[in-house]
Amino acid sequence: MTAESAAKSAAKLHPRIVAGLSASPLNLVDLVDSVRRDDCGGIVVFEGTVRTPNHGQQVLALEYEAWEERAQTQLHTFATEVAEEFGLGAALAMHRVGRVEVGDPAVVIVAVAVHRRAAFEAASVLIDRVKAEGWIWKKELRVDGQVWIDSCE
Amino acid sequence: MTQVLLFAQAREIAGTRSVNIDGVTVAEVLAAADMLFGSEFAQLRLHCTVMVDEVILLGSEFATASAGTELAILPPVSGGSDHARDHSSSGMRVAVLTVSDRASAGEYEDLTGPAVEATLLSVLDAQVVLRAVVPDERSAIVKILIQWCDVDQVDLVLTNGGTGLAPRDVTPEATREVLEVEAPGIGELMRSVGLKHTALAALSRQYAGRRGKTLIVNLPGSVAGATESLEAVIQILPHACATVRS
Repeated sequence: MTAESAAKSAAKLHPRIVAGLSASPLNLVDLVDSVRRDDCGGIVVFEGTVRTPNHGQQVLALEYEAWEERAQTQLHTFATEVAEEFGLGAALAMHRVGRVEVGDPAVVIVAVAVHRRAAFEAASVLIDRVKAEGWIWKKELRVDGQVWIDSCE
Repeated sequence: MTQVLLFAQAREIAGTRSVNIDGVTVAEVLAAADMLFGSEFAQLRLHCTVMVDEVILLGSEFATASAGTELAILPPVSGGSDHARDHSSSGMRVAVLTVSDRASAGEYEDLTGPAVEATLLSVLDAQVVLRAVVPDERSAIVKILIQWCDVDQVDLVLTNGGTGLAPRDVTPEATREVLEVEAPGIGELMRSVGLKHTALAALSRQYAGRRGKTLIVNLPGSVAGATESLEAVIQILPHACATVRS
């Protein structure tokens, strides 16, 4: 069964949407618990973490900056639209602002669906939208200085 | 006065998140910002998306678009999509042209253009990306219609004014000059609804039709006439524009 037909055949769920920006570390367990529900059996979690090295350069941390009021609204819109498209029970999109250390999550996406396939596909679509369209910028803090990242990765 | 918002690298180079700049068009405000913040800023700015009051503008629109109250200069985001190209997928891009000698001369404020915008936005998923006021002169009207259709390629142009029988009323003639295909039913529908209010609607000469991928619709000049005429056809505009674009 495709995700689309699964979405159609499932009884209409009223999706729970959690979305926003956070200046403090993202707690994965708390975030997943906030969207967990008994009538959904598939939860896919994507965590985007700060990586080093990047293009051969040692990265100390990333600094995120957002157009805060717009990005908040955007994240909510993306999560709502993806939840609608895939018939999700819940969708979560949380993004960090400020300094994020290597290994820590900069973005967390959670897709909650009745069955796993819709959850996998929805999580993938949602993170792509957040990265491509969200008004959120990142600066790499390196040993040799700081650089704004504006290329597709 | 336009509040210019700056983000990421643009904010760092400028040394501020926000600055107020005087200017009528987007191009004027951007040129003033370039002067203020220097060549490094001007260089970066060429790669930035410009958003005016919620609407993302194309570079070709800078010279004619109003600077609005809030103008954001947005460097490319790390996820790397081209917002200026993406935005055509959401909502109709609309241009509103007010044709009036007196409004163009500044003798009175253009009330009809804003009323048309408000009516449009209250019903449809649309963005007004361009607006202008020109005198009742055929050449001025033709020039801006061609610019908006051929260069800016908006989905819909709504003109208001110059549709009556006075000697200076030339909007229908200017419109017919640029149309490739006429859509007489749109004018007929507007008049048939107008006739329910007043027999004078029979004197209005609005045209509509297609040029390239743009639908052009004439509306009368009065606030009531323009909004009632627009309401008469507003439900068919999305389908009409989709057909024109296809």
